[in-house]
Amino acid sequence: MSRVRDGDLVAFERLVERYKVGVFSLCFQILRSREDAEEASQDAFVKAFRARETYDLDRKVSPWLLRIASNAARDILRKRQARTVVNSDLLAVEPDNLLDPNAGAGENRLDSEDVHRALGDLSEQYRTPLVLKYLHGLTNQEIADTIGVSLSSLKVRLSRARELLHARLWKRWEE
Amino acid sequence: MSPARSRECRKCDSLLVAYCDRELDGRLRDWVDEHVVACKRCGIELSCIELETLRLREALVPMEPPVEFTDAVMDRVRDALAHESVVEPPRSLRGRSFTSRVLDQVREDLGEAPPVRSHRARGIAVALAAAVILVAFSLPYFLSKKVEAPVAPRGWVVVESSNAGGLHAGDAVSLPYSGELDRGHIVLSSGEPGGVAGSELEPAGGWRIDLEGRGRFTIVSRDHIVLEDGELEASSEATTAERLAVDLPGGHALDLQPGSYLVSVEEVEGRSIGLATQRLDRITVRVFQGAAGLRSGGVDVAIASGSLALLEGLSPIAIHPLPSREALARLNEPEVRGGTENVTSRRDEIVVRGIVRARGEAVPGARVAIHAGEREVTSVSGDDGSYEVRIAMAEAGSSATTSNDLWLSAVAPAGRGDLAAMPFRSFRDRPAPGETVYEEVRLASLGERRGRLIGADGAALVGARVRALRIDGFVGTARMLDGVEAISDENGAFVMDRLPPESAGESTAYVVEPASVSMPLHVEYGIDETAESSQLSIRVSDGDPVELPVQNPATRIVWILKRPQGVAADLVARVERIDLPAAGRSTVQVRLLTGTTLHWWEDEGTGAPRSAHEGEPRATGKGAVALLAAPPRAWAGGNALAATAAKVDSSQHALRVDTGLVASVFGRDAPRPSSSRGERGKSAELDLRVVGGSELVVPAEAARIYVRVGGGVAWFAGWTDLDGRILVSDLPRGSAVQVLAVSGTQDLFVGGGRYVIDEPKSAPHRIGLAATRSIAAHVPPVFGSRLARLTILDGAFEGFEASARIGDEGVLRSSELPPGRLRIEVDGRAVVVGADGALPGADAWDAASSGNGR
Repeated sequence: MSRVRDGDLVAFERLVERYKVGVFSLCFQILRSREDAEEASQDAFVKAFRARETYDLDRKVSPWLLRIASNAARDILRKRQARTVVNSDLLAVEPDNLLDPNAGAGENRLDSEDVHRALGDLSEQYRTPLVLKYLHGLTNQEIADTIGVSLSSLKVRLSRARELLHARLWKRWEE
Repeated sequence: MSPARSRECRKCDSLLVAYCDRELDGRLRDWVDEHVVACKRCGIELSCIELETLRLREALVPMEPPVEFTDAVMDRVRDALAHESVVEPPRSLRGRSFTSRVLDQVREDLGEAPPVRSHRARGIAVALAAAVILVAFSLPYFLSKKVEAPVAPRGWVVVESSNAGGLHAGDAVSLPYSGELDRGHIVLSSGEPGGVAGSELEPAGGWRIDLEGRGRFTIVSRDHIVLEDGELEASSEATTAERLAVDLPGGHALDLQPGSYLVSVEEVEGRSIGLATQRLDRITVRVFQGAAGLRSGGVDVAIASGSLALLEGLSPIAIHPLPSREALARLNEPEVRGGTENVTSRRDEIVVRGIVRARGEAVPGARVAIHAGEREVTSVSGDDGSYEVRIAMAEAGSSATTSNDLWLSAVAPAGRGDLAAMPFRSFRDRPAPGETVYEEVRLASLGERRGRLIGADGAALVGARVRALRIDGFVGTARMLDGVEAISDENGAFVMDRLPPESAGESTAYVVEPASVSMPLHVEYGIDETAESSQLSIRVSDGDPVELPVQNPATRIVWILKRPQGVAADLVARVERIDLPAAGRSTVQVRLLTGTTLHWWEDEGTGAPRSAHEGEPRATGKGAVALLAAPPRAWAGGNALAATAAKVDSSQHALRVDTGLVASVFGRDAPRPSSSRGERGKSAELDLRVVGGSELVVPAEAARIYVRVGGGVAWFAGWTDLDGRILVSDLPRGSAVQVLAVSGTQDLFVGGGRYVIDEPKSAPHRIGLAATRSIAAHVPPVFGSRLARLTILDGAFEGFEASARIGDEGVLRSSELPPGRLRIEVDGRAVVVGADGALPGADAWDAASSGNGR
């Protein structure tokens, strides 16, 4: 990372190779679209390169990079929400039906697809901490640093996110 | 919010997610471990949360970006670098914004001094200096408390963290303190130890409030916080011996009474509380101890100890500004409320009046009860359905909080078997001592369910028992409804009546148990006059004899129950030897599945059957009787012999039987509570289709198998058959299962692996076994804890965990441990025990690398 700080492009390319899956996955989970996730991930790496001198060599790379990525994804999310506000009629359609018209019919198990769908229904502020925790394996403190909230606030969000997820999964079973 | 759940269960409930995430410290983790073993309901709940966590991890799979991704990034980076290199400021100025760096460089070139940055920066410096002084003043106090966390004296609060100007972690500020946030956050705490929900729940006192967003706030005193305006998001977690009042914008207030709670006031639709709309859309209050109240004008919600309240959709209509002191004083006057007339109540009692109805009609003779803590006062409804119950609060303790603990229940009159009892419910209007309230009681109709049972081969299941399983979808628990069951007829049809209505969040699943029938097997046996014991041995094929002691020699009846693996496979049960104290006839009853073909033949001790017959065996003469039981065709393949839960396939209106206890739900067709129009609970046809269970294979025949799902209760699942197979059909699919196998002899074996149960009928889960070992070692007397956590570090049982207690004499004992290097952790210090089992000396204990030793 010290070479990246000095502007070494070869080192930076290695960094992109190493972290692109993590960054892209986070952006995808926030945005739920491959195209938007690609745009956000690219933005994130470019921003990271620009901000390379602010990087503290004593700290881990991934929380720093993921923080930049989550901000980049949120920027796109904000733009997208502004774009789609006129299509509010679409929002009345059940998200399950949009994804899979047969969802919920006769399935009798809790599988990762259910969770994936329920995750998609969560707002970004709840989804992102879950992704950072269960996909990237960050500690609570690292997640708090990454999304820029305090540790106690993060705990509340995580707790609420799990409650919402739990309630949505069971709601779907009752349908 | 059932009053049946204990405080411990509710505490456990709040810790389960952290437990699954391995975030609890050793003591709390051990506490949960012990609790879920003792409490089956919490064990099931833990299984559900473990399953969810597992699925959550599976759902969040890493995703590969497109192949050209890196090139695209590098192209953009090179572009950026090209622009950046146009103006490259000196390294000494890097780290600030690019614009300010350039401007400063220009000023430097022009010979100007850099400007003083802002009034705000000056403010920061002053505040810093003040903070230093404050900390210096309070330092002796901190030192005198001998606790790690900074402790503020009364009249002060501590800043735990902040990215707002002027305040830093560790600062102490005097009260009242007014601050303003501009898109930042600040965490303030009363600075006392404890109070961190999820990690430390000791009621040591102290609170912490976390403010985010923009807006003004004032900490008036340590028990009074005012959020004035702006878009502040507040959350608080506390264990406090004091009351904490939080005034919210728009006249709302949170009133947190002494106890332990976690409060989150959340934003909705991007708008936090405190906006001009003054909406208070969602409040989550989790109370560990004590009680909390939300008072917002007309809405006055009490949240009892140990509960989670999710208050949503509180609209501006429902929320009014806090009433004036005069109005509050009037509310406390004794008065008649609720539309009843000519009734007055004493100041120390609560009067509850109302009418019991069912399907819109009055119900005479119903028993209505008010429960106040341990007390219960009942009344029987009159001819017009009316009832009145008076309960003296002085007897139950007359404080205002006591009325939070009031519950109402009702039981239908005798002879009204079509009506369900009304389970405990809270009051719509929480009464206060001296008040009279009106509560209408509605008894729901019991529902009916008809359907057919169909086996995996499409044939009707005859004589099977269907029971109803009530699932609480929100909590994730399930309970069997007592006394609600049906037996299928010769066409597989069944009728289940008296099905109580579902309450909110509940759904019904059905458990199908195959039929069984007792077949008398008359055996005439020889006598060994010298035998002293009454012992009946049955040899299972060529395996070791399984001893089935005859409990009562006089009746000489042996029940072979729940040996599904034995029956599902070809079982040759041979009565090898009968040693009974007297000559004569005896009857051995063998309980077999309906449809089982029973073959028998006489065996004169040669080991080979002489002749075989079908039907009821009647052996005569000396020697042994051999039996061959072939399973009914519908069950061949080892399917669904134990209890299995089921779910309706709504598209085909058929029911699939699955392997999970929490398998599922009848949704729309389920009998619902009768509506105000008085409809009877619906009846609907359904088909039940049996599909299978999960098979485990252990390299030991006739081994006792204990199964533990998640961190839950280990239960006895049955015996393995001669091939080491066992069908365990009530494992929640997707669950992580730990298996403990104990062989039929005295040798102990442990299967320490964890297996994820997947689709039914897939390949059996093979479980490795190894001889166990025991340890008994002296632990250096340097630890405060009496509990040690043991972890196997390598080999086939890597990751196996157990807890062990350290006895008074300082000896740590544990048995049934699998082989491998063993790590022992006590009080955050650990030591590794080698293959020789010798425990190193006190100096070998190192600080554990992580809090949990993982």
